Order: sequence, then C-alpha cells, then structure tokens
Amino acid sequence: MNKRANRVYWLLLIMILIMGVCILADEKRGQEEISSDTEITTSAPTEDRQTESTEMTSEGSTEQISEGSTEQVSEGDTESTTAADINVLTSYYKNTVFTGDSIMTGFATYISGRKTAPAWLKQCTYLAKTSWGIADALKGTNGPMYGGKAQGITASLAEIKPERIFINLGINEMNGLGSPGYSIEKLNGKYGELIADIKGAVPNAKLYILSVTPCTAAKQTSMFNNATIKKFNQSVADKAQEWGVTYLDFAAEFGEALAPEYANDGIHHTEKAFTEVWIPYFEKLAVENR
Amino acid sequence: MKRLISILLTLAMIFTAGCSGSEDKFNTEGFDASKFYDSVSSMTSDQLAVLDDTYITNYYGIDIADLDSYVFAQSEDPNSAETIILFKCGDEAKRGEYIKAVQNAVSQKADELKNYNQPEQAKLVEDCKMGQVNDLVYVIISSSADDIYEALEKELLARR
Repeated sequence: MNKRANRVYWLLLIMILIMGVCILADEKRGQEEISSDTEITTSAPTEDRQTESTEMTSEGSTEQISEGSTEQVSEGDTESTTAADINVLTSYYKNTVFTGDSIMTGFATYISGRKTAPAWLKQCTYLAKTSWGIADALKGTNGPMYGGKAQGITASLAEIKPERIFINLGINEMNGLGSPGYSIEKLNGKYGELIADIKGAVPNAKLYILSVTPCTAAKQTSMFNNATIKKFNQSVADKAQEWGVTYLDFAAEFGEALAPEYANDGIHHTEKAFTEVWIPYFEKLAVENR
Repeated sequence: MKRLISILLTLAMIFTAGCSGSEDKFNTEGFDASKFYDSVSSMTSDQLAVLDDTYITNYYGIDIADLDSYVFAQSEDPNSAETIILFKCGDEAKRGEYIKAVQNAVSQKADELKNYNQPEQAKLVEDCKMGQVNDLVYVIISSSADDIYEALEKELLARR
C-alpha cells in the first residue's frame, strides 16, 4: 500500500512539474513576443550604391507651358488663395506624383505630417527615397517605397498611372561630377535614359523636371558646389525639348546659394523653405497654367 | 519521503497557481495608439510628423479601414531614422501582409541611411524595437527606443 501511495505521489509530482514547465515555456513565449527584436526580421537588402511639351490640357483647360520648354514661375508674392484657385489646384494636382531624393522625402513628410499643409498637395503621391539618385533610379529595382514594396520607379508609376510627374533628382550625384570617368555629360545621358524609361512605363503622363536646388554657401567644397549644380541644371534644360519634358527652373527660386534659414544641414530644406518657397511655387505654377 | 513529496507537491501547486493567467500578461484590448504615442512623443530626439492616411496607404500599402487604432510617425529630417509605428489589425491575414510592408520599409530605411553615410542612424534602425503583441504591431526606431518600449510594455501590462 505504501509503495502504491508513493507511486501515486510521484506520478502526481511529475504531472504537475510537466504542467509547470509548459506554463513557464508559454510565458517565456509571450514575453518574447514583445521583447524580441527579431520577431519581425529586418533583412536589409544590400545593394551597392553607384557613386558615383506638347500641348498640355488640364481637365479641359489649355496650359501655357509647352512640353519641352524651359519654364520659370514668375516672381512675386503669392496672392491669397481663393476658393476658385483651390479648385484649380486640386484639379491640377489630381493624380500627380512627386518623385525624388531626400529633399523630396523632407517635403513629402512635411506635407503629410502637417495639418496646415494644403490638401491639393496632400492628395499627391510621393515616391521619394533618401540617398537616391539618377543612376539608382535607372537600375529599375529597389526604388522608393510604394504600396509596401521597394520596387523600381517605373513599376510604381505603371501602377499609379499618374497624369503629371515632377522629378527632382541629381543632388546626390553632384559630388562625384568632375572625378575621372564621371561627368555632367554622362549623368545627363543617364537622366535621358531614365526619362525614356518613365515615358515607356507611363506614356500619357506629363513629365516635369525640377532643377537641382543649390546648397548653402558654407556647404560648398571643391567637389560639391553650386557652380557644378548650375552647370548640370543647364545641361538638363538644354535637353528638355529633346526628351519631351518640361524643365522647371525651381532652383532659381533659391538664388545662387541656399539661404541658411532654408537649410537644416546645408542641403536639405526646412519648414520655412517649404512654406515660403515650395508651396507658393507649385501654387503659382498651377494657377498660371490653368 | 512522503513529507518531501508533499512539500514538493505543495510548492508545485503554488507555482502553478502563480503562473496561471500568464498568457494574459499583455492586453491590447482598448489600446489607443494615438493616445500612447502622445504620451511618449516627447521622448524622441527629433520632432516627429504624424503621417496622414494618404501617405500611409501610398507608402506602406496599408488600407486604414483594416486598422482599429494606429499611428505612423517619422522625423521630418531625412537624415534621421526616428520612427514610431503602432497599429492594431484584427484581421490576421491582413496583419501579416502589413507586417511584411513595415519590414520592407524598415529594411529600406536602413539601406538608405547606410548609403547616406549615416552609420549612427543606420544603427538605430538595426537596433529598433519591432514586434507584435496579439493584434498590435509596433516599430520603434529611436535613441530612446528602450524607454519607449518599456512604456509600451507597462501600458500593455496595466491593461490586463
């Protein structure tokens, strides 16, 4: 009887210990769910970075800018936006894509994150990627995030089918220009190829190239300076007609060098630049070309 | 021997009783992502912009209608990696899809910052707190990620 009782005790003990172990394991799993940093893996794809207008109508109205032209928005303060202007702006920027590098990323975040930002810009799609350049975009893979995927720019544009595309690329490649084997002409040639690829993906979209904006005077070096940026912009302006795009001399809005109050690090733009230059520029562009 | 076994049994029973309900350690029911974000937003180094629905849908491919509660915030400075993402999605299949999208975004952010010669920021991405608790998905990329995560853990513990 004693032996039998001992067996029962041992069996009960083992069962309870097993239960305890199970519960412990379960609790540990529960904790890992929140504490593990590898729950969602961050498999960063490694990609070597290369150093480096036809008549346009907008919802029935004829624009004054012609494709292949070089256009600059007139100087002067933006008048207060009327309700009629809002309609024009909303219509003009409907189904519009802004694509570019980190400067565009900053603008996109600003527009998305500020409740006071105009709705006609909030409705746009931003395909922007920090450290991105013309050569990267031409690769056709691992472009800016769109729809949860980091795919090539032409693939995203083909999905969106935008009516207008504003492109602002090149600043990240200015540093390498002038080094052996890398020239403004070569970069310009790549830009032409990229434009051709985009036109192939979205043949009906109207393309606008925004010139590369300057850096602050203090940020300039022998390899990275506003003289090079200006030369590159001119080379793009010269090719705009051939490429069948509208060149917008956006850089002119900032003068010869980026004002320190418009730059947070000498290159990237501040909220002040977005509110005082970017938004009025795009507003004027649409209103003047309605 | 009997005494020993009895003691062991008693201890085991007490332990077992103490562990009961451990699966309810974290509770996400009623968790409000925006409210929680407001409580920790001062802990980030940069001022983060709370992204609007259009941007979230375009960038992450997330249909806001699928989410019960959410906040997507990132630094306005493109040189900064700081990001806080919190969303609750009851639909398991959709949640899996959205986790993949968030993974892609985090991977790309690390990639961008490495290429941009921002190793410290890229390290923040690598060291980010990322995971899911029940229907809640979180991504915390910040120099204060540990503190923000601790606050999240406390919040979820307090709700059980």
